[in-house]
Amino acid sequence: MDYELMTNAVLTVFQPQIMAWLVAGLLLGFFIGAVPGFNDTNILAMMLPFSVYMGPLKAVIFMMAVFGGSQAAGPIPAILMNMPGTPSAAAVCLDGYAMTRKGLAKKALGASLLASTFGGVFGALVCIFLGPLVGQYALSFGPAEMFMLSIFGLSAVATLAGKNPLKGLLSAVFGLLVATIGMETVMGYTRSSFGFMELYDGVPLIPVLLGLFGFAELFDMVNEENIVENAGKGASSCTLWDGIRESMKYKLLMLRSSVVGVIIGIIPGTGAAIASWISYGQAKQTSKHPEEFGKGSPEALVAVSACNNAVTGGALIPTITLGIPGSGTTLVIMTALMINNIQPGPSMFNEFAGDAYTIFFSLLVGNVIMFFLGLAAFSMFSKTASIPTKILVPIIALFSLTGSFAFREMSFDFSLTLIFGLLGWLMKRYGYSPPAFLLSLILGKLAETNFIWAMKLEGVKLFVRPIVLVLLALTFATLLAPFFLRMLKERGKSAPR
Amino acid sequence: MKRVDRGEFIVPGIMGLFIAAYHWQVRSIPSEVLLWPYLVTGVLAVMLGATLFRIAKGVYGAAKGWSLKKPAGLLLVTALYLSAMPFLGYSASSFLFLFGTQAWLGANKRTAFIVSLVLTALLHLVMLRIVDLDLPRLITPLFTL
Repeated sequence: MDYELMTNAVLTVFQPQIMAWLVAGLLLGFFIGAVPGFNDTNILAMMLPFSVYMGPLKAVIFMMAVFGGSQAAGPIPAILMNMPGTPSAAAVCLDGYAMTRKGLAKKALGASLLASTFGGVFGALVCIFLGPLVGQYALSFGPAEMFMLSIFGLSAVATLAGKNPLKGLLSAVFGLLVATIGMETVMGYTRSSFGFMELYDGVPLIPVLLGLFGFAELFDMVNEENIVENAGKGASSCTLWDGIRESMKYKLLMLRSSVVGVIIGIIPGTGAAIASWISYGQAKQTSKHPEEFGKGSPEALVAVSACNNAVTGGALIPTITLGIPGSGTTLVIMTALMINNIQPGPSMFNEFAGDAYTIFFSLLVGNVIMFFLGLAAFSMFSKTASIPTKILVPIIALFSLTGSFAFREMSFDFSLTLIFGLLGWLMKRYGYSPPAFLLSLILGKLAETNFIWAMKLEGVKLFVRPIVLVLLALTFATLLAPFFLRMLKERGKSAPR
Repeated sequence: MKRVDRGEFIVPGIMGLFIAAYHWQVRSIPSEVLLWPYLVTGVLAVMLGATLFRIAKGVYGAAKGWSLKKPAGLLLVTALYLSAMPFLGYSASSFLFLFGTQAWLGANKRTAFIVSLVLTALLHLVMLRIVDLDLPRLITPLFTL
């Protein structure tokens, strides 16, 4: 490790011009994250041509700040209006919005802000100190490992099933079937697109989740006076600092969720959506109060928020050290480096080590600045929860629909949001699990594609590789742990005193 | 015998119809590419059967009462908004949707007008002018909105 290069990198980040780009990127990221459907990948892609004029460092630091800011602000509409702007924010809705309903919006936002900052800082530190080393392991993930990873992710369904396990599992399996719509990857046949060209690429996630969570909630909200239950009865006297203090109680959980986020972020083709659900499931299983999950548990919110932002750092590791972008956003960031004649990859730490460290340090500093900018921004947004529903319902409906369009610019997605809104409302009303459905929709394609590839490559033999077996053991542990813990608890209760 | 809530059949009904439509659509595709869907459908069918059996036995009981008037109204105005958008353009139809829905839900008309105007102007500026999304526009001989 070259400490002189690292010191120079820190000094570079603190140059006024670099700091200005960092702050500008964070503010733009906040805006993109807070408006559902706004996609950081698209916005950054539009800015790509300008990166030539900005120079590689400023461009990449600006883009990293946009990426981090949008991840941190994603929970704002999810917490305040049950409207996830990104698939990863869907897990935030469960407990964040439930806290808002209890009049604890500021507390939820505060808890999410600190946890996001923690996750972001952790991710950046891993980048700086372990990046080049850790990146190599991402290459060990072949189709069998990816299939097992998606199955491990699906095991979180067990924690999302709610009061009716059968209906919860049914929702999940239904999600797996819906995920098969569109072109399959082996022979290129289109499966059940119902004649719509817009479904050839499969069911788009953003319109579906804006429908399942955002629009579905409106059908209930329209019958109420206010989002906050018992509004005006002194329920809401909390502040952002209450949330920050609350999340400090879960230091170990934040650390564990950040580790999950970084690991999943490192693996190309995965991302925050999968990581957040895995983290949610893990947090619930190790919690002393799992019964509070889904009903406004700050613990759940902290786990998901820390994990979401840790993914940012994780995703940067293979991009910089191996030249393998794990997501659309990191692909754009990598392109910005390449058009400025910096080739990301294993040689980056030999030829452009200074630039690599500067980028990683900017991520660290950016996360710290984000906390203070977030204090002001989150406080401002928290007032949304007190707006009467007769004003808020049409606004949320409009934002949900516009957000769903902005994702692919297809009018078809308006209808899709409305259809899934209705489905989500009916599912929720009759005890099915929209989150389990969504999780399967996210992971279904990944599971199927990698299962088929693994079988075609080497057959069942591929499934006895060490990482696969570790993931298999983790899956079984996730599924069986609640039963064991319940059994131990029962035994403890019945034991003679 | 416990009372069976007939509404409980709605979601399984949707799932059943989806399965039927899905497999009708893929009937001419080689079964090689349907290995995974067949596997999923098999599990889904078993679970759907078990759920229907429990519903018929009245295990889930009756759901609490619900008022359908406003949700149905919201669905209707949203459908109207989406149908009007290609003709009126995104901005004009969004303004009418916002103002109309707020007024229908009982908001003060002046507040509703101001909120709708400000939000529509903001969305018009960001979505159509800055980001330049390909949203429907109202084109008249005098102006384009």
